[in-house]
Amino acid sequence: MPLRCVLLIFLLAVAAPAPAALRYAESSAPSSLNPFLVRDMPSLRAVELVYEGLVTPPDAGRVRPLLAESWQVSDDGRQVTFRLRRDVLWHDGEPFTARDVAFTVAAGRDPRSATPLRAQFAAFAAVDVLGEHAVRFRFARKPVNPLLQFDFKILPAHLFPEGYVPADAGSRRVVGTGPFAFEAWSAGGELRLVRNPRYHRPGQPGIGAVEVSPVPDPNIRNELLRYGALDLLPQVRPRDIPALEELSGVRLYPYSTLSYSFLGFNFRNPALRDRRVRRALVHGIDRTAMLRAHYGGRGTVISGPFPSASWAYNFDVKPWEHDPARAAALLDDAGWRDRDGDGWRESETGAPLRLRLVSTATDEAQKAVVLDAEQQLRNLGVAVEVRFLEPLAWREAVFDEHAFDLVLAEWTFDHNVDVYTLFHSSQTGPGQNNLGGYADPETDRLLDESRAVPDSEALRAVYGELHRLLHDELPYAFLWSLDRYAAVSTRIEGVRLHPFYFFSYTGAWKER
Amino acid sequence: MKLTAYRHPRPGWTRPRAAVAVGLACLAPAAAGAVLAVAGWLPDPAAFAGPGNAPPSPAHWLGTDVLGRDVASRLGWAAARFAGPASLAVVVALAVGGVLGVAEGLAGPVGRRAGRWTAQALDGVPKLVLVLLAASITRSDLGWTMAVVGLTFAPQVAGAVRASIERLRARAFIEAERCLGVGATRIVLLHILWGHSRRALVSQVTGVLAYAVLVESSLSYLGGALGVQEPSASWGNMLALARDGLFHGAWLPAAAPAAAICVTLLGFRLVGAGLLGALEDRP
Amino acid sequence: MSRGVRWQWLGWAVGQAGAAAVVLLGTSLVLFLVVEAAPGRGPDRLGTVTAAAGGPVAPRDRAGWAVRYGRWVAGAVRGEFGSSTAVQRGRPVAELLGSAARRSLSLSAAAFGLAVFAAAVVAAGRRVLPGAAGVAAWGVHLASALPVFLLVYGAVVWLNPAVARGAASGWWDAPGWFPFPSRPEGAAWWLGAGLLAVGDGFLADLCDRFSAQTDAVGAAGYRVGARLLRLPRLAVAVRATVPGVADHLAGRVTFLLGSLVVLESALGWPGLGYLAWRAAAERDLPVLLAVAVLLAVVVRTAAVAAGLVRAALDPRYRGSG
Repeated sequence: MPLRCVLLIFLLAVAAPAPAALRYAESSAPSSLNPFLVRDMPSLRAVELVYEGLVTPPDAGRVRPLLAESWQVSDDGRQVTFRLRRDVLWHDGEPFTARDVAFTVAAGRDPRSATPLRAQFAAFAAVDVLGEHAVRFRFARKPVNPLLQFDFKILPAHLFPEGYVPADAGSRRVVGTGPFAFEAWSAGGELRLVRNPRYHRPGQPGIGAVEVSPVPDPNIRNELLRYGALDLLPQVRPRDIPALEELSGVRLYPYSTLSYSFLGFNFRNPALRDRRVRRALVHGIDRTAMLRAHYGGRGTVISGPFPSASWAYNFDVKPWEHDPARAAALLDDAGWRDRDGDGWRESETGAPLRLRLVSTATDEAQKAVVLDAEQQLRNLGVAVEVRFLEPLAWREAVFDEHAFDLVLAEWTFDHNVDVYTLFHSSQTGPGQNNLGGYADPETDRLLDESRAVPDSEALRAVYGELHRLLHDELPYAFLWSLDRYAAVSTRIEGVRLHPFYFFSYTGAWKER
Repeated sequence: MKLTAYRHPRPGWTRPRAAVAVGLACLAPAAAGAVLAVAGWLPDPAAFAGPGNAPPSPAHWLGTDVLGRDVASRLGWAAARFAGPASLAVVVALAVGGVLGVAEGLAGPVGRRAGRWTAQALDGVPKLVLVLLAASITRSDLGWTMAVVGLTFAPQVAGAVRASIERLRARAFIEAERCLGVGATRIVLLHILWGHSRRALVSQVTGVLAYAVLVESSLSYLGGALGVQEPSASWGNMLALARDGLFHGAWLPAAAPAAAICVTLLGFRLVGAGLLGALEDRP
Repeated sequence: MSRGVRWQWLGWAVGQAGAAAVVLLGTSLVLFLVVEAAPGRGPDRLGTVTAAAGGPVAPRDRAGWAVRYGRWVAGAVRGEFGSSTAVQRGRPVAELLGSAARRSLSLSAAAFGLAVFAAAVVAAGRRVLPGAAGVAAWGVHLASALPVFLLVYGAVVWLNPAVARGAASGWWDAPGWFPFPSRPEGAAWWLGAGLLAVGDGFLADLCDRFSAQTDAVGAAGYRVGARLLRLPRLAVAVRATVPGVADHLAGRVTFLLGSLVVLESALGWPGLGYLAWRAAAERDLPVLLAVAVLLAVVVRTAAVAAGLVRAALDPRYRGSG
């Protein structure tokens, strides 16, 4: 059978030995491998494999020792003393010491370091090196839970003789203490990490290597997983879940990220400063139907500024209903009426209500949400001009130039769900997180209070009140928290995922 | 083995003419769609008119896309919307290419050299890369992108013009006209460009148009910030939105724009090849 | 061949290379000015990137564009193109270009070879089996009307399930098989090259051109002339065909590279095309400029090579240089 022979030769040419590696795909390549410079989830996940902090990343509010052996919190809660492990080596063979810890904090506070984490490091008043393997942190003021302030990664001091972390460090000097060591980063963005043989936890890691490849097309990602060219997808789309559930070689792992999607309002636009307009826009879009249509209903519609899975979420506050009639009445009330009968609402001066909506176009569901919202607002007489941007251009337009009226985006939080930088009026500058320029004295008061509360019960009360306030004030149209699923090949055993950092437990995974 | 003598143009059905006819037939659907759209006989392309991925029905001839928008209407509007920028590409190519070609063929030694080097420098950059650069800098303004497509084709147009000038030089009528006092502009425009380069230029124009369609659909298909942005329709971004459906059993929303792109490209290519073939048939 | 003739040859070649270099400088100047004029962020300007790498606060470069261009050219000659501002922030562009260039150029060379081979087969077939060749030519035209990105997606959608279904029904055993676009290696790589050779009208165009050339060479004038002068027919055919074909092929390189950009971006294969695409999408202008100039070098080299071929084979041409 000649055809069969030809096909066999073809297949032999394609065949490759099954690699001893964990291969996973991201929608875009990691942009930086320096924990100080990380701004996107692909980079965050890759960094988690290479670098470690003093303690494990907080999971359900708890931390465990990692680079530190033990710690002691002073009675007033303003000092933490860490005793460091003595058996830890950097990937290049240098020993890990207290100097590295001190350097990391100093570099994080240095204005020359191009890091978005500076605010976190500003919480420390001083770091004292007490010896080769002991270090003491002093806080400027007492934090609610001091141990949750240590989820940053430690950098090797000996590789940064200049004393700070320059902006171009992202692709060079990638040396950590984690279970996997950096090996190669191709120009196409493919990243290869290999097992760290000197890892300080005995018997770990159980996987020989990790390979990350950027695959922009989600359909192709699924195909690659289906046919065994990949072992893991950090995030699968809700619409693909039924198909993936049927595959025998793949298991789905739900993990609740602390994240939510929102439609942010830009308060620099006078029309949106009117609360009636914002409320009308929220009433005008059917969030439940959109969640069902575009995400298969796998998520929760939210009412306020916290992810629904977080401890801070106030379940007493219910989301605004979808109510087009009420929305129209609110807009009429605010002076936006269709005065010339062209189907669009105008102000008294005849200026139409026209809003620019910017979004990234990385996945189809998000695109569909944007177009759906545009359509629903059009039915309300509000003209929405949609603009899809590449991630970087989007970041520039939203964070630096504030060139938008509405923005579709998603925040992902760690356990602290600290929303201070999102809504405080001091955070409205270029590059800062209060991207809509929202400023409200009552909100500022509650946020300041949240920084000064003595314990977590008080904090919960403050956040509950804040939740109710922002539900009324609507700095964003809060949309939903999505359920996340990772798909992992059954070739990998012992899988456990961290809801935010994802790969925190990968050292303990095993290859079958 | 067949012995072919010099062929003379024959009346009737020749291969080049057949190619042109088939090519025009391939272009007809896109043209018809654009006309229908401009005339306002197609439903709103951005309206969510029905359930997503609906099969063809009297209300929606080609069904609806994943968001429930009418596919046929979007196809037509995409063609209509693209006509303007595509014509811009043609105008830029003809204008810049014509000037360069005439400079290369008729100007003095300095102008000739300048024309040649300009054309070569333009021709040196791969076309799509220059287009990407333009799309990136102008933030994917379709007009600019297509103007640059035209610009990248200017050297080819210039080559065609120069070639026909060189051919005409052998026949003395340019000199004769000069002797008779005919103005230079008139000679260039009427006798050289229109009278003797017409077909070559039209075949270049089909090349520009085919490439314009290809560039637009490629950029919009690959998505991101470089192509035509939703909710505006373009064949490329219709395909980009519909490709998910291929894995979930809805193939029509993807097949329709794909067919439109292929048939149109084939049409332009056949017309161009037919015109060139007819040109070669001449004695 | 006398000594004088050889010197004349060398002079001609040097002249051609010099002209190509001048044209290339002009091309890069145009690109540079376009990029400079682009509205964008201050510190990411090209001339200042190396300075900015030292720290976040870089002094704004106040030198004129001519000086900055000169500096850029000097850097490019040394193989330094600044650092990436977005694709892999901070990484030297030269480092990104190296391996990408090797991959992309070999892929396009393979596609080029495949297309030339297929077109030559079809053209030669016209003399042996006119009917079959006619059908093949129509098939080629139809397949070639498909843009590269459609071919790629078609392969992803239909090829993988077909192979998997075959394996499931026991037609073949596929140990370690991985689906089509995952890696640019082996059969997947050749398939990519094949798609590149066929798509975007490349193969159809070559077929047309080759057929026209073989027709022209087969025309009576050439054959009679060759017989009268007692020249070998093959030599006449080669001399009559190759220069024109070479010119045409050189002219198609720019289109092939365009298709390469689309192919690599659609597949997510690392290479110059993917790099150009990402750089354009994320406005990483140093990378985009470097890729554009590198590809311009390729196009220019092809043109010069075609000129050399013509000069070597066509006696009419050398005099007019």
